[in-house]
Amino acid sequence: MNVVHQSVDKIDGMGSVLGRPVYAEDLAPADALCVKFLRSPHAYARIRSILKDAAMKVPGMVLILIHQDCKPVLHTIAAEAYPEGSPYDRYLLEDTVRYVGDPVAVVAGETEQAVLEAMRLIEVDYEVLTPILDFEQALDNPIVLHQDVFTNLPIDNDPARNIAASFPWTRGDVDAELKKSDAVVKSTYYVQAQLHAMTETHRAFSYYDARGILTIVSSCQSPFHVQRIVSKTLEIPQYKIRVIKPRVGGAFGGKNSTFIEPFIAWVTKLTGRPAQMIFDRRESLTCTNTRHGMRIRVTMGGKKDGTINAIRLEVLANTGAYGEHAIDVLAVACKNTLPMYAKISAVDYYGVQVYTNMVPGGAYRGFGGAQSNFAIECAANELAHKLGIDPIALRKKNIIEEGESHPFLAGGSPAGDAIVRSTTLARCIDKGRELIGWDSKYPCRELDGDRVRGVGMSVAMHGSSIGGMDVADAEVRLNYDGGYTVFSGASDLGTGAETILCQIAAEALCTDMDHVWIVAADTGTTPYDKGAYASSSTYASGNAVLKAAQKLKAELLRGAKLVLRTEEEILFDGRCFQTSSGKTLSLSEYLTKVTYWKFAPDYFADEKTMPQLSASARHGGPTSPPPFVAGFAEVEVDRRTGKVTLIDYAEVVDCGTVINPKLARIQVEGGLVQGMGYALFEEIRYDKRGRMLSDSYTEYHIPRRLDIPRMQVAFEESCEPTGPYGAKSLGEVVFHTPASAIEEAIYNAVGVRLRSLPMTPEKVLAAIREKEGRQ
Amino acid sequence: MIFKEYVCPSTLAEAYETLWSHPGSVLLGGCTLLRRNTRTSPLGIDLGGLGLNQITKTGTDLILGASVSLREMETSCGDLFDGALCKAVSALGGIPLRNVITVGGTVASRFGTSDLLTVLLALDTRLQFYHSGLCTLEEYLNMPPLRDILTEIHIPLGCSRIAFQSMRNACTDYALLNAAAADTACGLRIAVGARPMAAALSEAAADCINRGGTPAQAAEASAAELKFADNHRAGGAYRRELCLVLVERALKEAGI
Ligand SMILES: Cc1cc2nc3c(=O)[nH]c(=O)nc-3n(C[C@H](O)[C@H](O)[C@H](O)COP(=O)(O)OP(=O)(O)OC[C@H]3O[C@@H](n4cnc5c(N)ncnc54)[C@H](O)[C@@H]3O)c2cc1C
Repeated sequence: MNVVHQSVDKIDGMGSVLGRPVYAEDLAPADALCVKFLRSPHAYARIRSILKDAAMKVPGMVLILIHQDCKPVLHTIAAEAYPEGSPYDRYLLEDTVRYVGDPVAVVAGETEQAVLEAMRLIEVDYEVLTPILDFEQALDNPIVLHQDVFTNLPIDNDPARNIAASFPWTRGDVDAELKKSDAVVKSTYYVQAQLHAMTETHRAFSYYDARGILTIVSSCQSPFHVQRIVSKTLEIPQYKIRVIKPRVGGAFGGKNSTFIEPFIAWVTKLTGRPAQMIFDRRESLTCTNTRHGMRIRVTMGGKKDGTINAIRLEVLANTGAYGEHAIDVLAVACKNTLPMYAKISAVDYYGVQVYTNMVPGGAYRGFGGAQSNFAIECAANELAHKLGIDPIALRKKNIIEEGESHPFLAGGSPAGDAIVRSTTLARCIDKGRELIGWDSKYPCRELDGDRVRGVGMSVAMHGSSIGGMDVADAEVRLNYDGGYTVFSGASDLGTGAETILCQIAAEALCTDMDHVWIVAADTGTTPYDKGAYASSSTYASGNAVLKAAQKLKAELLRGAKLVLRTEEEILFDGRCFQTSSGKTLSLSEYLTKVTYWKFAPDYFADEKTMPQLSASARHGGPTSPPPFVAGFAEVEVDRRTGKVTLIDYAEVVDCGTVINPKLARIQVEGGLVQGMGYALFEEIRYDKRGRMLSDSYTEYHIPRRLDIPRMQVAFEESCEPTGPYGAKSLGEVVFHTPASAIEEAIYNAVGVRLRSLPMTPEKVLAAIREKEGRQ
Repeated sequence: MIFKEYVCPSTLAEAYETLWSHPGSVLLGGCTLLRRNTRTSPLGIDLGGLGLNQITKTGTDLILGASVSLREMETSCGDLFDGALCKAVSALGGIPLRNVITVGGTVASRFGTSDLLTVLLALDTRLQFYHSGLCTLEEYLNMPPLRDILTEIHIPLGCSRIAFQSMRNACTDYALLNAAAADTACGLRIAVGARPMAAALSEAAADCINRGGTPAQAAEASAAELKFADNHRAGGAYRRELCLVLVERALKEAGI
């Protein structure tokens, strides 16, 4: 392969770092109104009245919108495929606010200063209500958050009990099976909420174009879903709205809800003026969404020979004030984790999402899988120790192999469970063992009296797009200038997705990267695509591009036959066509002939006329082939302070074919770093009244370069038969292993289990003291 | 912080006069702490035009002007005090931030979790204020708010050995606790900071060593003597445990 499998530079990389005007704010009209939210200072309150007269008198003020101004359209802001699984539990604005930061009013003015001044003058009379700030107290609490909730799909919600969604799934009799187990682990794990901390905060602007199309340029993940939600909430036909995603400075799931777009579109609709909203860092951190915090109870049984014979997972998740992605996260916590262990006889999953008066949960890299994988892998390590088996041996005995099926794997049907068609996980484990130096380091090595180093490992899987739901269309066109344009609705969030799609097209068309253009993520010009979530861009959007490019190539060969007036077999090397008898035609000759009348009027005359070539194709399938990873951590624990220092980390990845090794490596490194912060120190703190205290990067610490150990990244490629050139996904699975591998490494170093994240020095020391007390 | 007006005086006298004649006016160092304040002030007084950016050495003292940046201090004083000044700021943000932060702003603000204050306290540092004259850092740390201009920081060069220890959840986060032990011209000085209250000396620990105690015993003495409190980064009880470890390690590292 010439283009696929090459470390091609990101096509937009240099332009972005050189500061070219490519991000949303760079592109906004200079006279756009400044729009901001007046936000609730209370975690739960009913609004008695809002007085805006004094505020409207501020020079430069244009518009203040409050709940009485909006049509009560119940909807979800989760930008996911329709019909959404997320409950419809939001209005644009409402007389009730459910978390500190919930929008109360939309304030638009000529300048930021005018808007800030006006916001101080808006008088809101609140009836303050008692909030629920502990998610373990939410279920059946007399305080109820929502009355009006509509669902498209059966998601087992029950607003009266504060249940946003629940998800049960069972195969076999777990209790009966556990009786046959030689060892059973029963542990409860707490995995915390997490902030996305993307570089570019949430932002978008809107305007009417020359023809009166309401155009929205948004730093978002799924322009087509944004378009649909804006249409629904503002009652404007979808075809009169255009949503464009420019370059995006990071998202990680945090931009997969419409926090901004309907509101600025509303302002533009009412005023006719361009309008822009930019969240400051504090808003972006405290008033958008977080990873869902969870309590996960695991019961796992194993036999003496190392077989895991039963698993039960009970998940209680905190969806916060609203239910965006609540059901999907529960489903992923089940389907993208449990199928990893295939020798199992019985498996039982129950997940429930509860409402609280906290910042809403939402999409975040790993999407439930990260949380449940932590619990499952920690339990698997505990089980290995209980059975007296090396954790590596336990994995190798139980992991799903090529050709094996699992009842929870996406794509199954009553006719049969789905099967895994590509995996090199066993090889990933071997390679990681070698890279970390497991055999000489396991379980631990003493450095001095105070410090000891331990190693730990875990494995993970995820999915590639959502099977049976995600659809991606693509179109590839041959231009008369000899270049190709890929039209794709896929959303590159800075990940390099557009580069990957160009590589796939270039490979299929036997050309180089220079000849391939891409137009992406614009509802006005590109075909439909589900957007950037569920690790789907390379796999699903890539598949659509590949099929379209292959179709185009077939059309091109047909065209060349026409021009050469031959029925012979014809070959195309990207630049030149050649028939079996040796007749040749260059691509540029071909294009000249089919484009300009003067050269060959006869092509235009007859029935077989050859228009400019373009081909469309779609990906949409029932399956979601899992990528796999094995992660190995080496940590140093200071027994006297509890401080855990990361020394080394090896991650070996099976993402099928690696389309672009350089981009793949940075995805892995980025995911690991986020996972390390989650493992050791990232933590969202609230005050007693429900205000998020982690409102800046000094109060919410994300990993800095100095916090990161040596990282060794390796790939053990498989070839996924359903993927483009054999590729699977990569974006999310790489988040999963650090927390559980580090937890196990700490255990191997000092013999204590940390079942609640983050594993701060204070908690580690407390666990060490408790253990000493027991001895 | 938002300033309605801004001045950049060229003499200390003018700066001091402006400070007192304009109620609510604020002195500007590197503005990194001020930046996070959301209040509005009528006047910001920039100290950048006063020539307070000199680093000089007399026979007895290292003198840092108040406007010297942490980075300037790091790059020119690395060979002094066993590198303790550098070590004390190495975890403070990154180099771009340390290019901006001033020594004067850091000391004047008496920031509780400061690593640098702990080291300066152990080194028996004196502060020169424009109006109130010279005082010890120790006195300043226990003083009510002072409306005066810090001009210079005098660090006696007579310290033969110093070691500094600090503990944080993550590399450039705020310290959970820090400790410095210095053998100075006027004797052993052991300072513990980020309790999370600002640095304080432990006389009991110094006494313990002077009477022939071990570093571990001295650490116990400091943990018993000093106060520790909870904040959202760590609990007071945990800080007390850290005190035992960090003071012992600092003493051992300094070879005391
Ligand atoms: C990202 C970040 C990370 C940080 N991490 C840490 C950390 O890990 N540990 C830590 O201890 N601190 C940390 N800090 C705080 C940092 O120490 C302070 O922001 C800094 O020391 C203030 O110095 P400055 O020169 O910017 O002072 P300014 O912000 O300009 O001033 C601070 C105060 O001192 C007054 N002032 C300034 N100069 C004088 C003077 N000459 N005379 C009298 N008064 C004066 C000002 O009026 C103001 O009240 C961090 C800050 C940031 C922004």
